[in-house]
Amino acid sequence: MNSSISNSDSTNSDGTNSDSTRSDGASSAGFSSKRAAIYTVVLSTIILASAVVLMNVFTYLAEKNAGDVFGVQRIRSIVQSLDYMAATDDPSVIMFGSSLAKEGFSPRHYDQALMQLGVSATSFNVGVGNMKPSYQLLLAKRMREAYEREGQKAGLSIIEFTPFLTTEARQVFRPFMTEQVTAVLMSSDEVNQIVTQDLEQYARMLSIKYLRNGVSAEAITGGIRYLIGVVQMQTANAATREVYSDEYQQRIDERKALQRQLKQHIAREHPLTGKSQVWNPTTQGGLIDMTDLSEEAQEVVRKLTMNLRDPKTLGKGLDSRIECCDILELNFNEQSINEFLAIVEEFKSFSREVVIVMLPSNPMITQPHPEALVRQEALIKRVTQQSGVPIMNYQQHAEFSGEQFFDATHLSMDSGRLEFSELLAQATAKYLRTSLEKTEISQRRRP
Amino acid sequence: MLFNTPLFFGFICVFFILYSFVFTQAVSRAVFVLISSLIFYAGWDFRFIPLLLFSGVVDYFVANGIDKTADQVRKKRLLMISIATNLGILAIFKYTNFMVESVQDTLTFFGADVSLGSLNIVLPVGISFYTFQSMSYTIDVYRGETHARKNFLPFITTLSFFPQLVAGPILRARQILPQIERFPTPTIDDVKYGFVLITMGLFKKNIADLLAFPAQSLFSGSEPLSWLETVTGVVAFAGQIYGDFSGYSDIAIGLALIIGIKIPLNFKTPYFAVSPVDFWDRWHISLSGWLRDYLYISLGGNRTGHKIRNIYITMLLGGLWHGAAWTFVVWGAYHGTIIAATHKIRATKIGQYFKDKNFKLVTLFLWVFTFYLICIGWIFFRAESIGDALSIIAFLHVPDLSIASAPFAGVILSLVVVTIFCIHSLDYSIIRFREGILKRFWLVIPLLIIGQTFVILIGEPGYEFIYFQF
Repeated sequence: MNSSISNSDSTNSDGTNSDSTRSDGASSAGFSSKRAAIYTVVLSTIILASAVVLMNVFTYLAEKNAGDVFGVQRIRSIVQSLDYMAATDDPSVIMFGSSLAKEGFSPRHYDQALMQLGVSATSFNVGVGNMKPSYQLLLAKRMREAYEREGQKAGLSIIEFTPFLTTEARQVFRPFMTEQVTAVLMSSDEVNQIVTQDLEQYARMLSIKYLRNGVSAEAITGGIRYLIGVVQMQTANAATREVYSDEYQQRIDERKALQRQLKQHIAREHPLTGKSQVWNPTTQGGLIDMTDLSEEAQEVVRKLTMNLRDPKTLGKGLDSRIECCDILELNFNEQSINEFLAIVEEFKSFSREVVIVMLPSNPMITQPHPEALVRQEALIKRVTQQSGVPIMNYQQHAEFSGEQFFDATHLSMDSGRLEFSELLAQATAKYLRTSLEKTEISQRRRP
Repeated sequence: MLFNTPLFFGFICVFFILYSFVFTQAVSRAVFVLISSLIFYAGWDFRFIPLLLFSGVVDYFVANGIDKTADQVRKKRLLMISIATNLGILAIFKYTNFMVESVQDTLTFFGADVSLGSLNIVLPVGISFYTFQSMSYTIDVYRGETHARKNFLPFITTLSFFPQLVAGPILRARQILPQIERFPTPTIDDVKYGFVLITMGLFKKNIADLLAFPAQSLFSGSEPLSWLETVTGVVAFAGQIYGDFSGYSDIAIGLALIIGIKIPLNFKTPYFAVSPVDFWDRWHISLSGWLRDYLYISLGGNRTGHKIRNIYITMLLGGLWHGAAWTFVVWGAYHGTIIAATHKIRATKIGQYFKDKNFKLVTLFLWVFTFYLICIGWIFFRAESIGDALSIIAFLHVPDLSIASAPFAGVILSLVVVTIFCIHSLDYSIIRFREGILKRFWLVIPLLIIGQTFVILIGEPGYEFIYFQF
């Protein structure tokens, strides 16, 4: 083959009269230049279009069967549901935040607790995992646009503020997610603005947004590497090379079995609403609650939570939080803080009332260093002053012990989530009453 | 503008449509290809376009000067101008800081407390490739192997031809210039095979990026690794550099082929080599051919009785061509040593005995042993310093068994080895069964679709082609 390719040495050694030669003359194969070009275009279209279709089929099937493996399904489904949220007639309550809000807030339980206090509202859980303020700011903008389109205002917006999500470490965590998340969350205009800054990135963003259904190649690659790491961690600590004891290995095996059982229960009992990775109007964006489950499934949840609360597992959870978010040192990133403040401003523009909430932290695991706490206090003060929005701080709330968490930072399904939602309802009812009054006044003023 | 990015895809689509349907005359095509190539190059750094053009202009006039005169002394002087210009460009932009640092290190070694500082010189992408290509033109004209072109346009279009501009293959003027002068119409087989090469190249680039991860753990990581992981890192780098560089070459050749320009293959399953000499017949063929024709033969080649010396000088400079660092010099010297050793062994009675024999077990041993030798060389190529390289080599041969492996380290090593073997088998197949592939192309289309799906599915921005830095 090489010889035939390299035959060019002897194809034409004299180019003296080449300037007058037309290039599209017939070749030895009887192929004109234009026909060759058309053949190339057709062939490339068939191959590339088929490849794009296959790629989308693969990502669709992967997301359908394995959940939010690429970390974008919930964001995508939230973006698709924004108009639905904005069109809600009742005073709507938005709980906006990270996985802490996603796991720790039950909209339906919150609404019930409000109802008992004489306030009728419909709340939505807009918590998304793997978040950074830069992503959240884009989502906040899309929410504002949705409310503007509907000509509505949210009754109350509760914005989660988790200091460790504004650290330097968090800013650079999992960079492979950035482009796909921003591509899904950016408007077309925002994507088009990139063209003048970085043509390469612009082309990638267009391809992610319009050809790849929001799943970037780097997210798939990064996800594969991440999964390899997770698989490796099933038998030993990949960082320290410590091989797990038989007892701990047994605990991991039990956990896997319980997770499988719970997944089966949820799939059987809630086939349409059980997928936490998809934002579902029926559960108001929240996850399946204990009250949704059969006795048998509830028992599995309790066992699973107990299993997860093992000190070694919690320690590993803390390690990963140190790695991703600098949770003990809390060295803050100025850009992230400013982005958080910008998020609050966005919400103020389409909400009658806005509050900031700091979710409970696990007192058994998360104990930041004293200097970090000083930095955090200063940050809280700054956010309060600059945003002009009250902060409700549940970090050290007496109601929450290690028993209300299933890992280092997330409230558990069987207790923490319900208690927090109830407490939040009690604390925010007054803001909703004020919001309702504002609504009535504005309605009375209408001709 | 990397070949495996959506931006390049957009670029090549626009280029191809305009090339095929708008610019159909040879002159307009040449102008269009030149402008496209300069836009492509500007995507890296537009500031260095004048440097590329300067190299071309000098060699164009020098070649014409050589062609016009019958005076051998004048011919030689003109050739020296070309060589000095091109090597001067390389020396300034690629080797200045290396030379300054080396002098500084020497002075420090002898106790002199002098700081020479360093210059902030940006290395123009592709400089080593286009200077060598441009130089080969004047040398060929000097040797009478081709004639100087009166028309500047095809010459400068050839020099800047974007598929091979930034990372080769390094083409001789006589290979590509006649084609650029008339822009041959591609045959249907050219188009088909072009697609096979492009897909294969992109596929290999993706594999290379995946292999980069275990290689980085060894060469750039801070954690101590076990013996198994060290082996994985070295073998993964062997796979990475092969996938990366041969992938780039395949894409370049494929892109040229779909517009009818034929470029020789640059790799022929190098890890199937059974000796270091065989390896260099299969690895970066355009460079090894260039070094052989213009350096080794100029030094006297095999004729002067200084064969081993000439091999050493050629490989040493070949190593230095790759990068301005002592690790590359050692890498070149290492290859000079193993090539020289191969020649010496072949000249012995044992070598003569095995010369015409075909013992399968011996071939298998030679294959594995050659791969081992090449991998040892890659450690010098990739390591941050000679000290690091020696530490890795020492650890490979005298491991510290107290360092435990990460879980599934053996599985990962097996995957790396199997992946490299599979890529090579695929490469072998598309070379060996070219006619069959073209005859039953409809059978290959599903494979191309699967290959492109893999390419689209997986990948990460930020992994540039390794050879861009050279």
